[in-house]
Amino acid sequence: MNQRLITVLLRRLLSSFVVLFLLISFVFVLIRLAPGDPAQKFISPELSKELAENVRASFGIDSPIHIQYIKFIGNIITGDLGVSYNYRSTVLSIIFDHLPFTMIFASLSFIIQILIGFWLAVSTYKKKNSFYDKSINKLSLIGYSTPAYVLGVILIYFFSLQLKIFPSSDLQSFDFDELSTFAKLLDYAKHLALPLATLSLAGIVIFYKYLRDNLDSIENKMFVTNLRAMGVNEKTILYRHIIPNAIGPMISVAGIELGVLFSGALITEVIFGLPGMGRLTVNAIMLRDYPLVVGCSFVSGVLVIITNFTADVIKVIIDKRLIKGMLN
Amino acid sequence: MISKIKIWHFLVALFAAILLLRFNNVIELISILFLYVRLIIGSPSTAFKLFDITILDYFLAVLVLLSIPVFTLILRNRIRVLKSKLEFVFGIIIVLVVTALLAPIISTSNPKFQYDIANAKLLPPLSTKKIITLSPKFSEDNSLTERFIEAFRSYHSETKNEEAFIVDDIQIDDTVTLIQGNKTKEIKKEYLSENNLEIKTTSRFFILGTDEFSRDIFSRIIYGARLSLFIGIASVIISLIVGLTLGFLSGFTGGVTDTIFNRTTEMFLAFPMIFLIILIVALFGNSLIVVVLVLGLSGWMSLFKIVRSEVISLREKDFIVTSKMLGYSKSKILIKEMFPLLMAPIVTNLVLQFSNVIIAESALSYLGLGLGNNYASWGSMIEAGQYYLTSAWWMSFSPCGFLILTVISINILGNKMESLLDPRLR
Repeated sequence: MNQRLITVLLRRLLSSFVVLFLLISFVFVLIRLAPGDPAQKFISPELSKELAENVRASFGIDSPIHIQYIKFIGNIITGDLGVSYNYRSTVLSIIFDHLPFTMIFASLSFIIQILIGFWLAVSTYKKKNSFYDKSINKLSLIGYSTPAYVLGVILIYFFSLQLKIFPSSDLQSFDFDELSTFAKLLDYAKHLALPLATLSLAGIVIFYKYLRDNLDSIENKMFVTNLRAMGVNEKTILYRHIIPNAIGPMISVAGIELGVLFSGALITEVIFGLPGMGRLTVNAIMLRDYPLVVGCSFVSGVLVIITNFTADVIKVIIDKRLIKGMLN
Repeated sequence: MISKIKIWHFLVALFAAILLLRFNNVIELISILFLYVRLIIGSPSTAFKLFDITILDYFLAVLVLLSIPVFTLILRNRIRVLKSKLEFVFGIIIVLVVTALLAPIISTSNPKFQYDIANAKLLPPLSTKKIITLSPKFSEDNSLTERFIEAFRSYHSETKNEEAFIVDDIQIDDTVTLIQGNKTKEIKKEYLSENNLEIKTTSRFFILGTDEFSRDIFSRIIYGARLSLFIGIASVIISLIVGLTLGFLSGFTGGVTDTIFNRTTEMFLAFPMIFLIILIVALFGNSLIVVVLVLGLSGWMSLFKIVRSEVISLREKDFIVTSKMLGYSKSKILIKEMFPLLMAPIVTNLVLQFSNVIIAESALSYLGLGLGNNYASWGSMIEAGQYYLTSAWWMSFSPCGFLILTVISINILGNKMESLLDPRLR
């Protein structure tokens, strides 16, 4: 069994690398296809012809395309993503400044999504067909259809402009350095409340819907009827038998959702002015800072591939029956 | 009572409402088109020189408006959809489509036209303002060309800004006095007669207020709906073509081709498209074609999956094998035999994809990467309104409301389509 598990994991790892390789090649093709000469920005008309040629040569544009391609891949593998035009430091160091925030932000949101989604699904399942159940079901459609930027604007209007409970942007207050440790934490919490709500709503709805459907379909299975006939009380049936069976398939949804979270974080960070990868990417695009744009989308892609791989691994470890399907 | 209303009733009622509320617009448009037709007959070269894509737009709008009652009343017994019960969602979708098609008739002003900024910016919803325009006197002896240009320009108040004043009140005795707050401006009648000008007073009703450049939000929302629908439909068609052909090829041929296509698609599916979309839009610029292509090419994967699995399950069925033996070509088998069965899942998928594209387009515009600079777009309206939330909440709340309403109704429509179209569920 263990050997087969390792085979499956190795295969997944290999296909992840292939995806990564394709991603890099795709980015390369895009850059080559894009209109305009990347060296143009650094050549002023006053430069002498030889100097201009030197600048052009330093970008490696004059060498044949396959050599450029190999160089490009080599650079990326060694972690050399170039130098940002705007920040005047290496792309990798800028990204590592912004990455931790997005990671923490996305994982916090992920935990919130799972907890609230789970709670909603179970609590509505207990009161099936009640007014509460029906209204949550209707509201979930609205929640699913509301894009992050719309929700963000509405939340900012009501909670930070009308009620003045939460701040509308930034991560720290202006007097952050003078606060005590506890007050600092409270300050972070206050600043993150609205962004987390904005980022989490769509995910909450997805988890709720998926788990709720699973619960309903498992309730109709024979073994539940059997347990009822045996006189096991409802609570035990729900918590010991129905929920564990319903949760299994949620892991693959969670894996996809974690990938989606990174793109959701992009827009949320822009709305609330948070110092993460998303805002970095958008700013880089606005400033036409191509090395940074390429670096950001590449790193985000890598993150997504890693999360997908992790989700697959967890799924396989929990449900060993899946190995057979994956081997074929 | 409500349950008895059919879709064709609603269409006719919509037509009547548009005709009643926008009667002036319709008459003006028809006269513009009439003048243009006369111009074409009289001097085709000038007509060709004056041709503008908006003329075509006007022509199409009038044509659609006039064809609504004819179409519904004649065909109501033939087309089943027209006789089906009107549901809230259908109503919203119909209104949306009709607004997008009839944008020049329904909107009250040009979406890019800026009223007098000093007096008309950030007006709250439901405010009315008087507008005074000093325009050249209309006379019969003007040439046809001049009359056409004048009529074309003055439609949707596209007159020059300095000739239009927004005032609170106007008094006309010996001199014309314009009153704006506590300021007054006097215009002598001699000045008017010397320059052959004429004073026109119109009152304009801003149903959703104005934005920071004093543009009419209602008109911008209508043109934004048009942009969203256009981009949605165009990119969904691209997704349909790519997904259907690749899915059919992959499912029907099988073997190595199938494996390669399937693996590649899985890779694309695993990757959140927004990063690639942003990268492409950043590198290639945000023209309409780029946005449509990118959104279309990033959405075909789920369709491919559906088509492929359906084709694989159908491939071994007797009727397909028979038609293969009878010598039907591959495309004929696809169109005649498989497509009717594939209809339901494809249409459902496309409808859901449509709402995804609308959200993605607005998100791009919100980030400043979409078409917000050249066209009125909901996303860029929300983004612009965010800076004025304290003083003018309506600026971003109205596009927000319309966006949510649109997406919800499309999602519900997608769920309904599934049960409507599936022959096995009928």
